[in-house]
Amino acid sequence: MDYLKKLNPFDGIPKYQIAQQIVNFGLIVASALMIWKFLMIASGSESPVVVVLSGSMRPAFDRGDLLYLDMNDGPFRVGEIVVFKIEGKDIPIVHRVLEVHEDANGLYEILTKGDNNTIHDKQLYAEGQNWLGREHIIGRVKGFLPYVGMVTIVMHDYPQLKYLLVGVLALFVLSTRDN
Amino acid sequence: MKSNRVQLIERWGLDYSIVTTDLTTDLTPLFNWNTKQLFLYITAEYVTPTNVVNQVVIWDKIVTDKDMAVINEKNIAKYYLGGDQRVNYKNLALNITFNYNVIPISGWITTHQQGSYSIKIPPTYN
Repeated sequence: MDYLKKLNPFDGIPKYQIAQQIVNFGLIVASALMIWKFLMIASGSESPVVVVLSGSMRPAFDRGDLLYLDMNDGPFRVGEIVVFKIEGKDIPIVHRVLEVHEDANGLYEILTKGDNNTIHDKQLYAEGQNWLGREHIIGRVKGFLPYVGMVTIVMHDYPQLKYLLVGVLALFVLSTRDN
Repeated sequence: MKSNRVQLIERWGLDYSIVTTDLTTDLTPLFNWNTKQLFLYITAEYVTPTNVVNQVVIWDKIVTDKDMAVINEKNIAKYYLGGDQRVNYKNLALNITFNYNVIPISGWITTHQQGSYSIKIPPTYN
């Protein structure tokens, strides 16, 4: 039993300190959430950071690249890279705007194409849908960090890794001794 | 950038236009340690009774190498415009602009415009 006691990372930590560590852990989670929510407000986009999942925008973006999105400034114009969602499909798509038609009421008809694809996206849209409207677009790509998103792709492909990582982090935070 | 040719053609009862351009520019100075690629595109912009803004990309090109950044293209056209039955393409005034955006290795993406000209689609098929 002595041996087990030594293994237990919580052994010898006073109870109040364990409580403090739990609060610390909560603080970390809350701060992460705060940063995300703050980014949502600053960018005006429901998901301000996305990871590229396919190579359809090669050589500009590749799998695992991290994109910062913004929704704030001005109307949609050709040449911009936008992230959009199609009804009935979960995964958002990052492609470039090839055609824009805007009427007097500010309603849009937008056509997109992947830089690495030979034809435009009409086949990619929902059945009977010829254009994207403003409601389909999550954000326009403003900033770019290479490869960082690979971490999330790996964790998505191997979910066990995610739980392991969270578990190890939690144990680490909770069992840190203040000296 | 200057105009080369504007065509009005008819296919399956709809009007289409092909705008052909000559483009000469040197984009070598845009390449530095943090430049991954340039995306060059030529846009045709026009106004129709239903729409206040219409923009169609009629040509594009990706440049990833500094040695390829001296552009000297003659007679270029990649995408047609037209095919919308609500629009009368005959005599339609077009504003043609050359733009590019710079994709960095990491950081912000920027867009720039360089050069433009105005032109009209001819009134008859040619």
